[in-house]
Amino acid sequence: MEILGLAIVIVLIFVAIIFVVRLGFEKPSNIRASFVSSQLASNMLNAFLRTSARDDCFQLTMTELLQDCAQGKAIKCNNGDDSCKYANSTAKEIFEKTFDKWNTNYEFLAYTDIARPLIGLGETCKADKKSELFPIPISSQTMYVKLDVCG
Amino acid sequence: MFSKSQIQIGETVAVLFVFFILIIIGFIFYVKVIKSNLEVEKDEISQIRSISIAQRVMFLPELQCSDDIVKEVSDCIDRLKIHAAQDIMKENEIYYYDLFGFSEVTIAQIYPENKKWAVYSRKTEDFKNKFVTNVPVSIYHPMTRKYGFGVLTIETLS
Amino acid sequence: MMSKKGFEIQFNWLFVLVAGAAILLFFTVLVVRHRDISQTSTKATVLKNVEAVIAGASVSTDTISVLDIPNSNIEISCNRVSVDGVSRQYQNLILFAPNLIKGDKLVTQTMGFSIPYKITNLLYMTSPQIRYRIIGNNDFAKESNKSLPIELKKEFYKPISIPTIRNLNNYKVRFIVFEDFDVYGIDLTNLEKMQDSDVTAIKVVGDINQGEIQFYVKDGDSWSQQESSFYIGKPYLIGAIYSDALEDYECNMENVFSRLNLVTQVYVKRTEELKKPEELSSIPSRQISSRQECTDYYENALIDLKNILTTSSEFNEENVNALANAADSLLNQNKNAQENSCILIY
Repeated sequence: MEILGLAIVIVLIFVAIIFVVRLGFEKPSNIRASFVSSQLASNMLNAFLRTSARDDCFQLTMTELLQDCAQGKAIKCNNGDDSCKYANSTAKEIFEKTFDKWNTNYEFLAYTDIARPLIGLGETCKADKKSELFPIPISSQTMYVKLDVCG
Repeated sequence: MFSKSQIQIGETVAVLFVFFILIIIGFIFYVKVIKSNLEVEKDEISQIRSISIAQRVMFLPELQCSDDIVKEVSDCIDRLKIHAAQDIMKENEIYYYDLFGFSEVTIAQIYPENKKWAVYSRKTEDFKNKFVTNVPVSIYHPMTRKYGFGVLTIETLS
Repeated sequence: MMSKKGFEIQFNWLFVLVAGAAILLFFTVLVVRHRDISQTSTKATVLKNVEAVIAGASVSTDTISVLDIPNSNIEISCNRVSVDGVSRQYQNLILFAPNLIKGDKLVTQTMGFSIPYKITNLLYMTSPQIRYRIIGNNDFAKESNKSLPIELKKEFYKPISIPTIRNLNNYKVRFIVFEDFDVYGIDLTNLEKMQDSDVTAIKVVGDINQGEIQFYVKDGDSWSQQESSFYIGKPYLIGAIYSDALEDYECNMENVFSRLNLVTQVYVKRTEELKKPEELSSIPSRQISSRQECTDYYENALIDLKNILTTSSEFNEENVNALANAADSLLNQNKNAQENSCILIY
């Protein structure tokens, strides 16, 4: 009789343990990573578009250079680059010192037609990503600048 | 030789003994689960604290751009304020310790030229967690009305 | 004489009782300890939520939110937040709130404070169980009423049509009176049973820019006037509406003034940099219209900034008035700088 009682107790304890294991353990929180990635894409893009070029390209902002890039590349910088090349090299320089240094994958695109981007840097994100899209008005249409931060 | 009743009492005592052993084992397991959850919660609190400090730095009026044309841009730092803020934070260490705790705040301009400023630094040897938050920012030079590109780095220790 | 069987049965029952009692006691102690730990953990969670709101206040301006929290008693005093005994101390807390927030909801509001440059966000907190009665007829009264969240239990009346207040079982009642309406004219008969410290009033004497606030607290079926304080701008007045004690209001004001002092020091150094001839000469002439004109604005601005610095050392009537004047003057200097294409002071 006692053995039966003991057996019932052991079974109850095992059920309780299983219950606790399933629901009791809290998963480690990833709250900070979520915050970092959400502000990273928007801040990076906003700051980049506001950035002024060096003296060799008349201190024009990246937005102005990208607009010219989409509208005929009239601007020729003193170093021989056109607006597309200059914006591309500036973006590359900045992203090398930030995303590459932090081992963060990204994809940066500037386009009027996404099938044929004017500037493309990085690689398409395979899994989760935080995306920021910035429209820039140009004379005949709208160009878009898109930054995906992977992870 | 033991009597029947003595054997029965012995049985009952043995059952109770085993029962309490099982309870103790279950309790130890429960305590371990609670401890593990507490560690996770502690880590979450550290992360939240790190985010709070990062947000406070990002929106600090002592550093933030303030321009009637571009009203209080959140991801912008006024270049002319940086040196002043460095001095003031050094002179009022206790005040800013209440805001930032054990952390280090640096601003690095990476385009067009490289420059670095250590705005706040209070470190401790006794820490378990270290979080580094990098925030891309514009560095506004009021003299030229041009923006550079920089990174605001907040390293929190807890 | 007891038979062997009888003795055995009795002894068995005794044994069962003792063993059963031991087991029950063990589990009861366990449950009680666990309940205490859970309660402390809940209080700590509520405190953590309040801390997160305080930290988040620096980020969001002009926002209103209602948070669901476990049923708690949150005590707020000068630089201290406490939840049923679990407390956190701050060096410089800017939080305008009644001294006790009860219930399972928390109404929070933030408002940016600029004088004239951004100093900080003011954080306000209260319970939707507190009743606010606003009495006034002028635009300022209406503006203040609009600024308070709709989630609050607030009533707005013009002085000519105030119904007698009924006791609706709110744990606190706060009156906010504008213009020439006399606080002593408020009939407290139906609120007599409430504790004196739970029924408070402020009378606002002034306009949207600055003025005096008279604090009152219930004294039986009448009012007892406490000391007066001051406000400079709507955000401060909203702070006085939320704070039900003069000491807490003034503590927050002192903390705001400390903040003002530090931020102003930054602007003083910044303006001194702007004024430097070598800084201005490095700029191509097309960037600034006239060096001397700009330098004059910076000189005047420095005087105003240094006045603000001096007045922010202590919160009192004289300093509040001087601060308002210096802020106005600085606003004009900045406008002039903008009109003449000079680099802005702030």
